[in-house]
Amino acid sequence: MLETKNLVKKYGGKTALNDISFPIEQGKTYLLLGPNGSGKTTWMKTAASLSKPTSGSVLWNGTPVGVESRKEISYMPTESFFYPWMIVADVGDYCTDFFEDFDLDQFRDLIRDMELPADAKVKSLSSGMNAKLRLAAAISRKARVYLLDEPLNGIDLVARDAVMKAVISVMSPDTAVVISSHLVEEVESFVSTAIFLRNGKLLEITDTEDLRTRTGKSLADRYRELMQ
Amino acid sequence: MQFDNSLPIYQQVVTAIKKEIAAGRITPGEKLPSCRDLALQYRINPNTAARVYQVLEADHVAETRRGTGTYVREDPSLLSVMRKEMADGYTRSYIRDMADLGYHKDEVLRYLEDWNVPESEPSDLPERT
Amino acid sequence: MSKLLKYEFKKSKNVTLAILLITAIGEALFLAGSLAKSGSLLASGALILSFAATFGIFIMAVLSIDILHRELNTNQSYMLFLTPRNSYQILGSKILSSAISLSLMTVLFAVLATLDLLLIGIREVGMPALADGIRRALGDTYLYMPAGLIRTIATGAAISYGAWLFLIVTAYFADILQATVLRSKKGAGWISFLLFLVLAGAVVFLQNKLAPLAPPVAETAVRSCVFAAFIVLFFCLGGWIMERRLSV
Repeated sequence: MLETKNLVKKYGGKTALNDISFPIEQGKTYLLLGPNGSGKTTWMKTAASLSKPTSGSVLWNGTPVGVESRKEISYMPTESFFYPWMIVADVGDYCTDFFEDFDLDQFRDLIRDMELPADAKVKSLSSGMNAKLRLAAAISRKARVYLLDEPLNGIDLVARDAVMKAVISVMSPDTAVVISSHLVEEVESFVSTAIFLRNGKLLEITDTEDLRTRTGKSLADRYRELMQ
Repeated sequence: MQFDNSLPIYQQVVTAIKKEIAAGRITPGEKLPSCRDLALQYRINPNTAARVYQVLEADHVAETRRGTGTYVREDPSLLSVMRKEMADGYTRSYIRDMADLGYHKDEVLRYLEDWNVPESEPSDLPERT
Repeated sequence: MSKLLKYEFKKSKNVTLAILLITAIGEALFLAGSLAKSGSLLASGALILSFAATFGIFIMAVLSIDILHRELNTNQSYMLFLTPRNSYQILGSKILSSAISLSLMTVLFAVLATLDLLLIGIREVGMPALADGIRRALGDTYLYMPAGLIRTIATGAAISYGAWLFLIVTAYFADILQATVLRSKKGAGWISFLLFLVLAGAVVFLQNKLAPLAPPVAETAVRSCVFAAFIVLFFCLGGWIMERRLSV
């Protein structure tokens, strides 16, 4: 459904993504793995059509991502991006205004479950609270693809369970979820495929259950092997 | 539940459910959670949850009734079968470990006979009443 | 588009309210001064009003440019560019919201100026000294011929409106170039400011060349048309470049 083809992205003189190709298929949950600067965020921003490729493309049902794909691809950025004048409830209203697939009731349930006060100023939220708000906004859409960039960053142990349950709840046979996280152990029980990146290059695509059955290794083991 | 991430997740969940049946916490005929709820409960992928039910069906532990969900089979012998399967597994690994330590069969039997749990550990086998 | 427009107004809501509040205070002082026949109250009211009119519009313009700048260069850009809206709609709603705020401001200040000056005219008998001052400053006609006063204020307002909107759109265009084709070059900010000055200067130069060619009655119309043409041109070019080159 979401096809990356020979994607290259350069910033100034630096190559962030170096000719990578891979498919994202529905019904699967992907984990993007790689050290900082390996190109995970750059790929997500390109797939979310925020960033334009230097060459190559990301295709959504055969056409380059853009205004149309934004209707069906939901993206949770790794940094705060809301307008500073907003309160938590404003974020729900904003998404309702712009995304036809946004479920406001679900958003309200999620922020309640994650103990985010609806009248809190977005500016005053801690980084963990802000991450929860970004996640709630992204997964309250009935999207076809969810791109979640470091959804566990800044989220304390107690809240992690709620966050991961929220992520699992959007998985279905006709959606795809792509998560980037360096907390491999936390997420490896529920991802189906791992995509290893290093220095903007694609190293390997691995089916997680297959890896365990074939080699008796965990994703974390394989990650350490590949990055040495 | 804490998984061993180097073993297939679906097998670990299958074992966990069988253990629940063996211990009588899930009874024959009982409805099992939907794939989605099972995924949430064990924090696994819904595809893995579906595979868990496929394996349980293949093992004649569960059956899927069209449109209503997956149920533990209404088989009175299931509890004893599961108990036996679980007990076999634990015993097999116990014997393997003891053999690794160099124990012989008669030594293991005597060891079990003489086994006395210290006062501070409450996890002795319950006496039959 | 209406949703985009709604949020453009929300972004500048506080500043707009502040300007309106200051205007209301100025007007209240002015009216009080006029009723109480207090020259000093009246003068401070007039001073606040003329400040609000000049700087209010200036501040609104700078604010809208600053908002676009942040939405092209910081994470706030995601708010707009994650929505299923294209660059023309996004840029268009910004220009439209500036045009609407600017119209409302211009109309408000033009109407206030007309009414207040007429009020002075009517109350002139009560305040001969002040009326004298205004007559000396603006000429006799303004106090005795409301039609002339209204025409002068309206023409001034139209030209200043066109000029402001043109400057705002030119600044948008310069900022879009900064965030796209000039990106990651050192001093892109200064280059875009320079670009803004050059573009605005060139258009005004062209306008000064074209205006005298038309008959005197049509001069305002020619000037307005030049502004309008470049507003449309910069909008189309800006949207086109954003659609193809913008990475936020």
